[in-house]
Amino acid sequence: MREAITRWWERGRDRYPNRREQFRQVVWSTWVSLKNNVPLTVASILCAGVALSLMGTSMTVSSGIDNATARWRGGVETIIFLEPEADANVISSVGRELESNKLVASVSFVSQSEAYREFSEMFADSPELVRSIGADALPSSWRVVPVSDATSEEIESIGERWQEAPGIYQVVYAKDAVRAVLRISSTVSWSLSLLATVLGVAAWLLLLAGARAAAFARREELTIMRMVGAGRMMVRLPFVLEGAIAGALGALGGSFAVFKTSKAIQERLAGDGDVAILQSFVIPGERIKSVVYLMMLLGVLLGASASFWAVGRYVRASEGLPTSMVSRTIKRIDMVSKRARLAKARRDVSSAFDAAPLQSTGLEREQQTQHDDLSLEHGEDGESASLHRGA
Amino acid sequence: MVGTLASVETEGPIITMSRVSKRYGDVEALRDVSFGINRGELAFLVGPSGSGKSTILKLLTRELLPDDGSVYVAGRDISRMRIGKIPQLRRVAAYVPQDNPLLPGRSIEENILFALSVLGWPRERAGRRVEEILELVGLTDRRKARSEELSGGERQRAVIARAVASAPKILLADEPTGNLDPDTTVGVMRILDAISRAGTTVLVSTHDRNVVDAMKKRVIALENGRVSRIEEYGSYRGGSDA
Repeated sequence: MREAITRWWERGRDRYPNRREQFRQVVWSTWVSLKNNVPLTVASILCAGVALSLMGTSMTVSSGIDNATARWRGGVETIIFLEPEADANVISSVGRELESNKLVASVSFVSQSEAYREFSEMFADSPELVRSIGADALPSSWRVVPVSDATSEEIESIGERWQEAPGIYQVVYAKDAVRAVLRISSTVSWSLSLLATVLGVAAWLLLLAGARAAAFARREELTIMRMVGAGRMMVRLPFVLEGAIAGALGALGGSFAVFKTSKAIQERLAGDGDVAILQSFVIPGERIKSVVYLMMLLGVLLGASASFWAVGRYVRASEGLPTSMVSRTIKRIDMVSKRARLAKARRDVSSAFDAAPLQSTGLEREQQTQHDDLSLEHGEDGESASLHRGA
Repeated sequence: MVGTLASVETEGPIITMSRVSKRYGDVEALRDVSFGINRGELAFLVGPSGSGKSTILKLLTRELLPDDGSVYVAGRDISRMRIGKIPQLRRVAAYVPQDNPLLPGRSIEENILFALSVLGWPRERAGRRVEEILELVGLTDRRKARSEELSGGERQRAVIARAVASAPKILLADEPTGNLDPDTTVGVMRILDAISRAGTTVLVSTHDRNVVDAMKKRVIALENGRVSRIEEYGSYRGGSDA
């Protein structure tokens, strides 16, 4: 890998011996383009920002919902919390009785250490809180999944038996609100993701339109660059950089919005004492951080790819290739088949010569000389070659 | 650095077109065109509008691809050249298009510097090069003039200066005297002749018979996309297939 990177770097150094000057030119072109297209650039940044912030918010809110409903996932309808100091006999007798109940499909035990791990993950942003609680303070529990055709009365009857039993701290049921949250959370998450995707496509198209407008405004410059022998990347780079900057700025704004929105939603819901499940609505800081990184990456990719695509038509037009993708593909297929026909013809001629060797006509030598004579590798050192040599 | 212009002094054609055909939809722009241009030669492509002169020049810079036949530049069949090699070709074969494009709002000097900077020339060296080139085309005094302030002749010379600034082996000029008065035309042709005498192969397309007659160089005449005749004035030894 390292060798490959070194080879790539050296190849680039050979091809672009004065990268510093070219880089200066690229930065200058990018700046001029950004400066000359302020309204379009701002529109692109805003659109990318809105799309990315929606996507980011949907991701962080989903994470909060996951946290809030974690213990109710997998069809759990009843949780029997045991006193922290409940002895092993009580715990196992509850478990045995639940397992033998015909209304129970499955039952799982969450120990104090497992409960502490869940708690630690949920409040990863508040290490002081996690440290101050300790595993001993949290109750162990049995999580009960009833049979699929159990009615709500039957489900309640499973826990009723334990309401007042010794060693039991509390019996909790998945109320309608929890069921509703579980039901709609994935729908909301999908809807937000779909909306974010649509807006992402819109942002990409807007960035594309912006890059096209910028490329059109600088078409003379593009033509001249290609005419004098600037490489494809040299022509594209200022535009790609411009798109990447717009995308990154959009993502930066979007990240700020996601951070603020996530915190506001969390504070609002966690402070709602009426709905107990929402008190565990926690969006971990790590999650927000990873969403922000993802947004930045997507922003840069959105902007850079849109610009890369937009300038392509100007680059291709100067290479004898059609600008439309369909015509280009047809042309390429045609070129490949032409090459194949030529190669076959050469093989046929060569095998014919092998079969009946002829005296050399010197043709091969002449062709070889043509190829060896002038290399197209032509650097600027030949420079003044010079126009003044014979002038 | 790779490559020099030393090889320009060697014998043999630097440009060879062999049975090249090109169509634009139903219109046949070129049919079975074959000719060769020697290294360091100044030659003319003549013919009426629509005879295929510009198409030939665009084929030589790989702005277009032939439908059939081979186009050799500096020993390479450029119609089968990889796209990534096209920039190298254009550093070898510079093109002066018919519409004389210059960057708007920028001076002659800036236009030439721009071309050199995108090719990665260091600033000091590019600056020295600009001096030489401006002197060659006689625009030293007008170096700060913006492209909009230039006359037709000055504009033409500025475009030629930019094209040859990076020392290409071949210069392809498309109607460089198209809209110029006779005196300016002579000036431009003198510059092209000087460039040719310096070792650069120059191929000029024109429909102006007077220019061609005055220069007494080899002429490739085109008619309806075919080579109608090749008039030998110089010492062309590569032969013609036409």
